[in-house]
Amino acid sequence: MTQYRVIFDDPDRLDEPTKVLVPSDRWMKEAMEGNLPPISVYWDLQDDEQKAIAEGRHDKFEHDPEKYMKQFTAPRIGPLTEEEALEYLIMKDLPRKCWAEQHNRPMFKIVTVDQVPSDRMFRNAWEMAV
Amino acid sequence: MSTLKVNDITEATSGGGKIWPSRAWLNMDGTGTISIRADGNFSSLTDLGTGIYNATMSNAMSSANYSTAMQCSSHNGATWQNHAFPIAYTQGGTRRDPTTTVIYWHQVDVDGAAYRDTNHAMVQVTI
Repeated sequence: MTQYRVIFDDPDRLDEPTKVLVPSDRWMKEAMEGNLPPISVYWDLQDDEQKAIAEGRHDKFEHDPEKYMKQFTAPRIGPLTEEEALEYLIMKDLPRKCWAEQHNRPMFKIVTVDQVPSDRMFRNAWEMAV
Repeated sequence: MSTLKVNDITEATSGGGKIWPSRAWLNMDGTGTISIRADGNFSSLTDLGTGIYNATMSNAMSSANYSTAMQCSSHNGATWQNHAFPIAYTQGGTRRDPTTTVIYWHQVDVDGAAYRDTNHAMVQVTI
């Protein structure tokens, strides 16, 4: 079971509280056993969908069958370390602006689970310490 | 281990109706430092704030027009129970629609008065 979490702020929604991403243990196991396709397979799908959203045709959007199938048929990239798996997950599941663009402060951090508050009394006031 | 690859699953009896299996599922604890108890085809769960979450699927669905089933409950000693809604509104009112990979949801108490964290929430996706 991974002891890591990713805390992040969405650059488009900086007024919202800091978010906490919890990796799936099952997915981490798949990643560390080498069962993932190249990350570009997911980026291609994300790009096509974002374009459909921007053009107002998301309601009837369907992925290109060939690109969709690459999730399952593309050659696997081989086993990743836990750190590499987390980096892959960040590039797959976090908003791309978090990690692909430069900001005046870090937009995400990998932390251990005990560094995340367990008291949720003031959850909506959480801010990432720089 | 072997993998079964088929395009359709139908009943062997009772008229051979088509069966639509779940494509992804998740069981989470939204209290304390939130966690995933177990899942299938999800790569991560994200805590967006009190009672607001999203989960990202490992592999995308072919379209965003899938169906989700959700339920949640709380056993923290309070008298209320919660409902989960598969399109999230943040506390500020921003709407978040599902995509082929990400499901958003928020949970409110039984009278809809406040967002709530729950210790049991379950999500299932069928397409």
